[in-house]
Amino acid sequence: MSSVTPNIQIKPRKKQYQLLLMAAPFLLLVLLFSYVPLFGWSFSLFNYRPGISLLESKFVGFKYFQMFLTDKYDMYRVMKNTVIFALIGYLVSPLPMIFAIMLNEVKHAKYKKAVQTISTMPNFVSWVIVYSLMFTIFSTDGVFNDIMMNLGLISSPTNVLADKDAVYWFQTLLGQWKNLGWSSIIYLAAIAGIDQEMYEAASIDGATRFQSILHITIPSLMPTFIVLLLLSIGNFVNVGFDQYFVFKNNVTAANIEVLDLYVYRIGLMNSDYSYGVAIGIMKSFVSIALLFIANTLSKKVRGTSIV
Amino acid sequence: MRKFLSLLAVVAMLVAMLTGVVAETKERETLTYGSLLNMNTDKPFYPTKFIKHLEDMIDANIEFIQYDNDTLKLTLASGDMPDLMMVNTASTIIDGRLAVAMDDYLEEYGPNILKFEKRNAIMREFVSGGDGKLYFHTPSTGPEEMTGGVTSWNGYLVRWDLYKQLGAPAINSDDEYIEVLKKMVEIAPKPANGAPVYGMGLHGSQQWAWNIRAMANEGYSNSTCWAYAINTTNTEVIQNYMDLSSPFWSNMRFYYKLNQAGLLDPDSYTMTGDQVGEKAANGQYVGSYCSWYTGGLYDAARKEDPNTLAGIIAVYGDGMSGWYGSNHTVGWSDKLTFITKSCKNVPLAVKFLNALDSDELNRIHYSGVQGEEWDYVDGVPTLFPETVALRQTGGEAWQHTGINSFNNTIGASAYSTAEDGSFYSLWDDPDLKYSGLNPLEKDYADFYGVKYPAQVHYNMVQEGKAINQAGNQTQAVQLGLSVRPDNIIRIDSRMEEIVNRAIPTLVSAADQDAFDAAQASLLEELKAAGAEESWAWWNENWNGTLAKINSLE
Repeated sequence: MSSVTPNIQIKPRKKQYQLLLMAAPFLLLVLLFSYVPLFGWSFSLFNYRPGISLLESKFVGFKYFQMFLTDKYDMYRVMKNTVIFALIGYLVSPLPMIFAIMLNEVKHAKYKKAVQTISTMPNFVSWVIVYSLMFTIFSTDGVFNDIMMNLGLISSPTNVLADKDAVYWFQTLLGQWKNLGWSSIIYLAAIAGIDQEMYEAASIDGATRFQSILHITIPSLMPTFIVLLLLSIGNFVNVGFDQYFVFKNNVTAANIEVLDLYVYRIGLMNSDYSYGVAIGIMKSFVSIALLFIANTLSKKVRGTSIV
Repeated sequence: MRKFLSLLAVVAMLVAMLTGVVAETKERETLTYGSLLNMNTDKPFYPTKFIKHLEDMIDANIEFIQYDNDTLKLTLASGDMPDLMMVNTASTIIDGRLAVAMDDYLEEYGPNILKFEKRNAIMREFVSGGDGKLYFHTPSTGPEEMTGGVTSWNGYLVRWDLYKQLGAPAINSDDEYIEVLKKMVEIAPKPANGAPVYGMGLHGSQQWAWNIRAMANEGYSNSTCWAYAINTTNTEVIQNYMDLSSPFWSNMRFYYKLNQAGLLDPDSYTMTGDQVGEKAANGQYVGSYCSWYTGGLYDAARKEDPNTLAGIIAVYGDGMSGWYGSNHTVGWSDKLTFITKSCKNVPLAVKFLNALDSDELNRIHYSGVQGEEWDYVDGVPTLFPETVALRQTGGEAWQHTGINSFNNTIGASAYSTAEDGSFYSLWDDPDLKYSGLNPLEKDYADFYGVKYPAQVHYNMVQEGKAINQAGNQTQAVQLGLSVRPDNIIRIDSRMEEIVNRAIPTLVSAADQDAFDAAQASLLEELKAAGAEESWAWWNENWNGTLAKINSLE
């Protein structure tokens, strides 16, 4: 069994120290920003209130963990939303790869660059701006309704932003619109790394462009796709916050509230910090467990893994 | 010897000169003050004359720091706080021992603070953690808007030009209001961009918008959560969600009917306040739930025609409540300023709060500087005509005076009596109010034969036909209310979330049966979420605190 870790040749001991030294600042950053904040987990064991020292706060043990696991009001709904968004995310996860392949097949260089630039741009627009834009387009007197009504396709205005049933697909669509171009960059880089001789050989053997894609490009991209998929499985419950936060309203609330948004509401809006931290910890444990499960599966099925 | 004396004289002169220079260039100390308030420090008119005067009084600069809710909480949690902070509840500050008691400094630096005896007594009783010390300062202590301001933000809000066109029919119920809205929509001019016209639209992501209309009109105010409403005539608490006669349910029935009539903007579930304002300015609404969001209509119309009557204004029905008339013995208890334990100069901070309670600064805040904005005429403090004209013109020159810009912080209320026997605010003169009215307000006042629009309501109160908040002690009870236990807070916030999600179902119900079913379902859900447990706590604690305050009175 081999791992996908880059094959680094063994260097003399001195060289290794140099490499370690080079990595040290980054390890320090990881330590500082990823491990030191874990101290905050201790808040979940106390009835913490802002301004009161943790030492003076009442120790409550695992009360908040128990509360979340036995919560019959929100837990099921919030988890359901999170899982649905995550699963839809997996369903559409090949899209950036497909987009990159399609873009790679475009022969007109200027057109290709224009498409790539336009598709990448939304990634840099904040969700708040996206919301304003979507309100302008989709509100009942917005552009979308104007066009649809003028064309006679609908008789009364609709508002997808206030449609509970449209939440899952509409938010996924928005996410894809915003991230597709950006996410495809890694695949475009991987495509550039494919040995061109394979395409030439296939061409000599009479393969069509589609066959080349099917038998050369896609298999060559699969290791990248799998690694990204594995990493994303670790983030299964981290479906995001900003997007859902700005698009949440009284109509969409039931379906759009994912775990991160719920933690925000409980922890910061209701000032129930300890409970919020406890939910966050459980989320992290689920993520770690999922990552190891995915890693093991990958090892067994494909013979490759990241850990 | 002569040389030595000369040298001594030169040295003495140099020392004296340098000392003088140092004294002159000595920088003032800076007092930092953090709150959720926007103090407009980035505006060209800042610092205002009021702020400069305040800084001169304490001989220090004041730096305002504006937080949002999250950063304010994080600042408290970090313990690294500015010199002074304003919060909306005292419990965290008391339990976390984040505040410095003022008592040791009051005699020397806070004589004006000591004058507010009742306020201080209630605060020592309820928000001192039991040690009887004074930790907090509140703004606007005393009688508030006794004669109803100039206009009201609540009431049956109508577009005045259209309402007059309809013959200004009397409105005495929500149903009659809907009828009037309907007729106004029918005759309303189409906005330039062809957008549809509605009765009203709300910034409905917040429960505030769905609650406030009937809450204000029917004589209630909100508490720390929307699950409970306080009757402002007797300060009793009622269940806003579980009691079908509550303002929440009045609102739900009203908005349901409004939606049925096609008069509610369907974007009401997704709009922000700014978006409501934009649509109002575009002429898309003929009414409103609160006049704050619809001022843009008049501003936009006035640019085209200075004498336009196209603006939203309140008319009143029998029995309707006005949001004025309270006598806040503890000030606004949701704006508690305290000296933090991080404060570098506690005496200076006490001097700052003392200035806020001073006779001089309160008059400056509400009426301007003596000799510049007002002066005594036959012993009576009287505003200069220029001051009145300046307010009428508005703009940055007016804003630079800082008059009425510090309401959330200044110690006394506008209608507290100054040492000269007049109110701090010199604006409560019907003739003066009349002279300051814009063309729309003037037309309204002339139409009803009053000096200012809100006088219509004030007169109704005097005649016993309407009510105001004269019996309201909400601020005092809220201050004294014990900290809600965690389980009650969780139940209350859960109920709010449940109601948030139920509002669209209720308002957009297809028919009365669907509305009734949604209502029954919501009540069941709230009951299951612990509504009765929460109510038991609120009923016992609210009324208990009210009784204690009454005994202190």
